[in-house]
Amino acid sequence: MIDTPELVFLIGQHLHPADLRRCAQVSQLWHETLIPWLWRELDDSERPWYQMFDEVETLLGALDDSIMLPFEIDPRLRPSEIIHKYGHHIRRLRITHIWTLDPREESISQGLHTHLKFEDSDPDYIEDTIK
Amino acid sequence: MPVTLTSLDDVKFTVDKDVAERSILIKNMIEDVGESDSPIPLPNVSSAVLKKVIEYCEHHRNDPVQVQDETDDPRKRSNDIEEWDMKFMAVDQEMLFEIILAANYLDIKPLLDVGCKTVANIIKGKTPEEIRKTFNIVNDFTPEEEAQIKKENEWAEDR
Repeated sequence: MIDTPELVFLIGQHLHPADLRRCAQVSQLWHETLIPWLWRELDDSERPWYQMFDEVETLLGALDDSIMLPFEIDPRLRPSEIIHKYGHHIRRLRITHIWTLDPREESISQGLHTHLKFEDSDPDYIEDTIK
Repeated sequence: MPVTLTSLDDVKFTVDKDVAERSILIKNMIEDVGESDSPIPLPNVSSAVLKKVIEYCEHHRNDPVQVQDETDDPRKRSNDIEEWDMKFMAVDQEMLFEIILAANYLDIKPLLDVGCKTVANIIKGKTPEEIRKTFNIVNDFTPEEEAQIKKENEWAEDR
């Protein structure tokens, strides 16, 4: 029986993200121990940011808040909530789809936005890309 | 010059120094203490496990010492396990886990890798429920919690 965090942690190093994700659903102990491995590296080269978390939600997040949605979205599954919960585990962030960041989605892009300064970009272009 | 190791249950094993020094912990101990006839106590390892570990170290006594890069990602290395190691690891789960923990404590990196890879290969492609069954783990999540965790980490699926 794998019941010590030490053992789960050691094995976690050898698991790929898809397996880590399923392992994180096994039990509380596995979740707690493996989430840092799963979130250690975030890379959007295969899947751009706007599809990485809840695709629909992220796209809608770029739209006006006053728009009523025909269905409810679990607020705990908002990308900003997920990043807030797990983001501190990220040790390496690789962004290839920089333009997919919504400059108004504060918790995701505020830091990056500040550092990178989108000075050279045409604001209209960013807006258009998001929509 | 042989070295004597004492297990948790007070069983003594006498092995050649180069075999014992596959363990970085023991190697450092010998370096610190200098040549000595007194046995080295290993209070974290039972005799059954120590016997297996020594068997591994004897087989691999002439392997070149692995130079490890701290940033090296073990997942990027091949998951292939050589035939002898595969047979060596064909033990019951309890022993497999004990070997991993002992390899970690004794600091025998290649053995730790082989042990973890063996478990990783068992886990590979299994659903959470299959993993629980395989390792006899109780699901202590509520269905809601489990669904949320599944959703939150969905992005990892196609990685």
